[in-house]
Amino acid sequence: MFSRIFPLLVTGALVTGCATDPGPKPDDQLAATEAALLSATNAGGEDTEPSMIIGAREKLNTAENLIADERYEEARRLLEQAEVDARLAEARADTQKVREELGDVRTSIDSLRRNLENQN
Amino acid sequence: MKRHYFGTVPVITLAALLTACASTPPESPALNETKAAYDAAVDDPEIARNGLSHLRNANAALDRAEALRAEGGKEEAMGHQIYLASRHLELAREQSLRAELEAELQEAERRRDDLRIRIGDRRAQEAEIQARMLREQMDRLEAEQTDRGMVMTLDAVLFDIDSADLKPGGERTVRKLSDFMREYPDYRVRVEGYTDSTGEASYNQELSLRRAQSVQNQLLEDGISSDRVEVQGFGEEYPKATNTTSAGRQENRRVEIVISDRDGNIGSR
Repeated sequence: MFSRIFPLLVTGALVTGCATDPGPKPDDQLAATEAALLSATNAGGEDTEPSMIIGAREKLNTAENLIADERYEEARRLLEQAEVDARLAEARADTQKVREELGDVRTSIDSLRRNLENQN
Repeated sequence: MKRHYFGTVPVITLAALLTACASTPPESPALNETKAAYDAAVDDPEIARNGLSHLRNANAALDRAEALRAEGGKEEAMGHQIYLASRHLELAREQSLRAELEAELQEAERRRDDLRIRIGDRRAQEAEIQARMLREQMDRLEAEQTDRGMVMTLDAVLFDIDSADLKPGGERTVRKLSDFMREYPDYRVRVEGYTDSTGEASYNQELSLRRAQSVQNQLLEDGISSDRVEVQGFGEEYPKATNTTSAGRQENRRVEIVISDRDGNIGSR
């Protein structure tokens, strides 16, 4: 008897809210995802990773509908995914900026070098 | 950072769980792939250094995925954790790549600044050499600094009396000027003729202009372009000395050549 109940308890503790329990309303995660999307957009994530940002927005919209239906656990998953999507898009945009800056500096090095050679 | 330690407690618990349930949960290829990707990322010292917090997040998500796999029947929740883990791995790699690019950028900026300094030094040196050469040239022309700029004066003795023709000595002096003008093509000159007050003012004005023109002609003969040479006859105007003594009158009979600045602007009276 005990050997049957114990694992269930452990599992319940391990995966809180994963079962039929809809879990708490993911308000904090919703705010975190919205903030991540805003930050990614401000960083130019839409230019660098347009489809990733569009996908994250769709996940956010779907999650909002799921929250309205009180399907909180499904909503939370989509929100968590949308958050990491947005963060990755932002990181790629940041990298792209550094890459472009490096390109500019290298161009100016080339032209300075030509300049210096012409002076000789 | 290797995944050895990961989930030791859940693994033991789940082992107990498994023996209890007596059913083996299926392997997850997606989970195994992500674990392998995690191990590879951790083995890369650059990623381990620059993407530490994302690697930790990836590790935690993999722990949760493994627990869900072992539990069985939680494919969706497990897939979600795998998704999060792989996104965090990508984030870790991205951070590492950016750190690498930033280091390259810093190095490139250093090289660029170094080149700028070298070019700046070289330019300053060249400017100094040019200025010294120009000073030497001006000295050779015996030009004097005035309000109108550098002015070179040809004495009346360089012309025949009452004539506009240059004597050989005058020609030599003008040739020095044409040498200078060939070497410094941005410079222009205005040749100004002056006389003393002896005789008719109108005659004097005409004579001063003709003397200025004969200097101009020689410059043109020496190949200087006409738009670089202006002429003007001032006659008796602007005497340098008194017209009451012969020495003063001698000083007043002259041709002045005003040399422009390097942009070709000539100071006027």
